[in-house]
Amino acid sequence: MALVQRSVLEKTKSSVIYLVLFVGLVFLLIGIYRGGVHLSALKAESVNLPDLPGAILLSFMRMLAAYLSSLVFAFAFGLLAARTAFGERTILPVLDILQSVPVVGFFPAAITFFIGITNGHRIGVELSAVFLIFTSQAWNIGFAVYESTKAIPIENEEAILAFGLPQSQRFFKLYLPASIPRVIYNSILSWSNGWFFLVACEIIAIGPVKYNLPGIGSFLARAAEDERLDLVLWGLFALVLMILVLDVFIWKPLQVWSQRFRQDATANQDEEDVGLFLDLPKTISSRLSFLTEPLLAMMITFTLPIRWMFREIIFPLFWDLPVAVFSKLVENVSRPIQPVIQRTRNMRVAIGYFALGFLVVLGAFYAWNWFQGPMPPVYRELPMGLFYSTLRILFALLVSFCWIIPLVYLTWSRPKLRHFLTTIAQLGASIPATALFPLIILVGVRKLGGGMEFATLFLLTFGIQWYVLFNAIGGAANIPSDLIDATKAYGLSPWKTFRTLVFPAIRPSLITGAITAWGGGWNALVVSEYITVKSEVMKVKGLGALLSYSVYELGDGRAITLCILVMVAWILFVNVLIWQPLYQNNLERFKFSS
Amino acid sequence: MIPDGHALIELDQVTRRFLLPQGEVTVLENISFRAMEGEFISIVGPSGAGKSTLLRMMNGLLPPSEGRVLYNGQAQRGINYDTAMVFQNFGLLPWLTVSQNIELGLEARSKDAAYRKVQVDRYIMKVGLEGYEEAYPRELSGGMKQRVGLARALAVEPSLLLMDEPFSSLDVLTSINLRNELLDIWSDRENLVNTMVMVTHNIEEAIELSDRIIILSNRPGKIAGELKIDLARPRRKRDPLFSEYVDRVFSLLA
Repeated sequence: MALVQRSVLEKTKSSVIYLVLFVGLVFLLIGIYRGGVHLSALKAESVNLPDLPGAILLSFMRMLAAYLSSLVFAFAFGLLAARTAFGERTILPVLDILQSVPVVGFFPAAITFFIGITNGHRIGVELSAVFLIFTSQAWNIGFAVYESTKAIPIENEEAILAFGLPQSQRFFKLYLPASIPRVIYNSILSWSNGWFFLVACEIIAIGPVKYNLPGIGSFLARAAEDERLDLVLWGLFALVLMILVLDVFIWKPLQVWSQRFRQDATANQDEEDVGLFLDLPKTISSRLSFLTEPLLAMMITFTLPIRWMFREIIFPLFWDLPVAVFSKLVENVSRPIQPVIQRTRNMRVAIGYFALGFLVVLGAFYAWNWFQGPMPPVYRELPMGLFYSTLRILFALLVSFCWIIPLVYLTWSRPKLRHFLTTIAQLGASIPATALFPLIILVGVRKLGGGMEFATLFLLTFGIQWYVLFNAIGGAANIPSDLIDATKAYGLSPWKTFRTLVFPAIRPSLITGAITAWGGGWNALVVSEYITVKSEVMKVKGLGALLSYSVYELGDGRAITLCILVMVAWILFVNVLIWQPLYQNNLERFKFSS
Repeated sequence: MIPDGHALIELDQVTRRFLLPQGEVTVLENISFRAMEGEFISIVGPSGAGKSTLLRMMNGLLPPSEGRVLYNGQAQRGINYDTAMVFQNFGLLPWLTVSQNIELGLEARSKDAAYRKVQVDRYIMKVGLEGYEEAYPRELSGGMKQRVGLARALAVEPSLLLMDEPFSSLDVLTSINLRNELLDIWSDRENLVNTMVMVTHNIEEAIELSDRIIILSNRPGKIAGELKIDLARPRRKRDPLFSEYVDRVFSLLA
């Protein structure tokens, strides 16, 4: 113990000196450079093509900020859950619930909150947008960190512990590398989630909230308001290009690189198909491989001062020293009272439950008081709103099934066609459904007069069909080849083959797709049931519209809470009582046991 | 080799309990023994007797529930960095090369880069891994992985080497070779480490290597007996005296 304490202290001394020098240098630089930087105010009124690069860049910055926060959150809470019993019991259930909640519903509440704490500054709108994107990215990465940490062999951890590496080194040598494969895999999913929400909150901010949040989403919305079809198409093109470039040049190479951090040598089936263009990297990235070495060398050189600063100042001072002091403190305090802790275990559990019960009762009491008095008129419309919204999702699912099942039947025994279809579908799925919304409003509603109901259904179907499609293709790809041969050998008719083999085989996948679509669909509904075009409200009957109405027109906290509660309860209710049993039942009946 | 009478590590009436979902389980009960400086001790017992738990209390990864662990006569608190451990499944980090794995413990001790390089090269040579410095663990055979584990432990020059079934995931031939090399390292006066405690369920292995064997009984683990092995090294399994020791260990275990 003494040894590590001493080495931590030694490091601390030199780190303090470095820190003083560094801060002095920074102040010197500030003294020299007293010019002041002015960010030019962004125009809110109308948009033009030259605004597009800036808009894309701002949106990307928002995504990046949210993603970095998600990573910090995921590692902090994932590790806490994986390495402390208390964390495991509390964090995991909370993450699980957060994962199944339609986060768009919270955006208005978040805006109110962040604008409040920033005194009406624009940064409040930015913060709430970043927060919303964060809520669509963080949870699954948190689970990835938790699962990876749990999978670390105990001996590897003991080897590190026994040598007494400082806490920060334990993180960089053990937890971080062990988490990399799953974190990268989940980051790809998180980014595609994030684009959807980024566009959603920019559209909401510019519409009903009437704040300007310059970015690609508000660019599209503004262009649609001005009836500039060319600008809408340019915007969509730029967005898709951005997503594809990120995927091919960042995520795909990262995913390949992450494989070296696997604990085992065997590849995991379900982690293979991710991202866009499964075949592209093999051709493109192998042709570009001559660039990787110089790029890597450049990165290493450029980040040298940053890494030095972290290694010599930040980690020793703000991580290892507090951890060493804290653990020493805990050790000294807990040793004498250890027997007491063990003896009073039951009592502490009882006190814990008592406190929990007290909080629940207190909460219920306050909630009761809050909902006393005349209710806003929203609650009478809730049942019908719920009904219409559910109907819309079911309709969207039905439409998806109608075109997907025949398509899967056409491709199930033709691997090449299936591969082609997958690539096309991945291209389509890379467009965040929300980004198409301004286009649909402009062309479908305003030019062709399709009506708001049409726009809502179109967006919803476009958003959720991919869940069904990718699952169905995956299910069909898993049909054993000897069964394909058997149906051919017996000369089964196409219809008979479909009924006895293909449809049963893809049924569990279809249900999985439906479950995912059910959860994701509500987010699309909140965006699409209620919009503002040039201060004119367009809406349909539904829970999403009721929620938006409560926020933007009533501004009533109770109505908002009621809408969100009903939505969450309904989603969980249907999940637990309908989808899960259906899935279990199908899985057992239709799985290929071999 | 005769111990010189100085107890390096001593367990004083140590008991260890674990809290499991089905209640508290006593894994080890009232264990007392000491390891003299320069001694090679093996702890033998059936699976589940708490052998590995015993080892982890000796280096402080686990605190005892009752009793004390004394190191050089001082009560031990927290992890004892004067010890080093070799693991059954090697405990190597898959994303670090052989050199980087060996370097781990030296980094923890804030040694400068030049010294680390010297030590790593020295112990890579000692365990015969020249040419594999930049290899990753997954590219090595089991025997070579355990050599890395051994080099990593030796490189920090501990006073006490703890080994948790170091040969049991190796094939027979590899483990014979590695056992001989371990004996060479142990008897090599140039090395600082000459006190070793090994946990094993292989009785012949224990007799071949140790000065003294401590036999644990099962559930909860208690000391069932102790046996001094007075045989000249190298020891041969076909030696009738050797078989006599095997029989005596078996009778103590039963």
